[in-house]
Amino acid sequence: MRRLGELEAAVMDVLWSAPGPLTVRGVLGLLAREPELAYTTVMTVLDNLHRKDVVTRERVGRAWAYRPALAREEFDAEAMASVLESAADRGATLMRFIGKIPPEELAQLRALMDEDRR
Amino acid sequence: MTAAALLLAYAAALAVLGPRLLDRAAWTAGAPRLAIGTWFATAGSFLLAVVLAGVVIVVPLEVHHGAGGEFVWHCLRELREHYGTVGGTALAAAAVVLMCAAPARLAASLAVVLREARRERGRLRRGLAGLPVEPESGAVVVAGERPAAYCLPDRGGLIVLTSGAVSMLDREQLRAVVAHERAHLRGHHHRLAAVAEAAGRGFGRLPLFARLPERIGHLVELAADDAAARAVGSRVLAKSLLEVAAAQAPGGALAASGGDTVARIERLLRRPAAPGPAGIGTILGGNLAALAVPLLIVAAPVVTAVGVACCRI
Repeated sequence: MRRLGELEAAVMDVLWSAPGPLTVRGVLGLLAREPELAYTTVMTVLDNLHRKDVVTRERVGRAWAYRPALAREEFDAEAMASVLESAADRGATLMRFIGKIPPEELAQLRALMDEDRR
Repeated sequence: MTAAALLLAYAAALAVLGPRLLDRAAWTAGAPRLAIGTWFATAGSFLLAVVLAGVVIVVPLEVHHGAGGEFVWHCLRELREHYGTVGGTALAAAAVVLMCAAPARLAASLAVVLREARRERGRLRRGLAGLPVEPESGAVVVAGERPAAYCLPDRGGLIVLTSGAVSMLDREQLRAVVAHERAHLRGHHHRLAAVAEAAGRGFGRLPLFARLPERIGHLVELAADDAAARAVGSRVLAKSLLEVAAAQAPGGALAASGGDTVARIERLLRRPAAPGPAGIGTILGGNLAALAVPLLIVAAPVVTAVGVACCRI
């Protein structure tokens, strides 16, 4: 899922505003938070963001430097797709083109489709 | 008391047997709009019977001598004999609850459903503002690999496609998807879904109402499929459904909206026969009868009472 938690959003704000990749130390320095966050907290958040493919990272010396995988605008647009998805799962707010599809039935349907063509 | 007991028995039968009969009916796939009407007629008939059961208990209890003219008093006294003479505040209270509780509950849950939907749609609209628009259909495009299409009602309606859908489907298939979503908007399907959802939340313990949201959700998809198939042909629509379905993540959660996709594709390829004029007449007649039964149960003693009161004056 592409939705961010509150802390993740704050970290992404820092990364999106930064001119280049940032290390954990760098993010920590730019995060204006009271009380200041622990180094390990920021490291965990960045690690999670990396696992979710929201940021990419590269080695800089002995540390990782992180940069956003997508520009902020791209990310917002893409987050919208999952917001829509979860709204459609919940109920009558909006209607979705397709619903449940057991994967094993797809082959069957394809066969039916080909049969129909003949 | 007889009338009240009859009305409640009728309501109970509808709540339990109604959904079974409707689920077994073969014609519903061929005539989804008629099926929507029948589900709602059954639900409406249930509510009517429950409310009238309350009314026929309350009315005789509230009779005061001299409240109206002589004729009215005679009439009401007769009614009292037919409907029941058991007094007591407990009964009156139970009757008032019967009379008011069901409609009040439905109204309350409808208010909640509509408020939630309005808030959520507002949020979605803000998120969608300023996103690119697909020129041919006027649909808003959100970035997302997985192909999907939605429609957001209110304020003229908005159709949303993911960029995955735009790049995967060819022009004709995209037209089919958009025609399907437009049919939802034109048919005000979100209103039907909201009422069904509210009834399900309000009376979900009864089988009739527990199934209502899901059944109406599926039937409005069939209705939209019919409209799209008329515009682009059922094969093209079936193909789009299949393409979009095939591109979903396997093992995804069961969806609340979108209906049963497998059944929809099979239906588009096999085209079940819609009921003919005689069949439609029978179904509509059945709906009317379902709604008339509670009124007839109430009316029978009224007719008798009026007759007897006339004779006595």
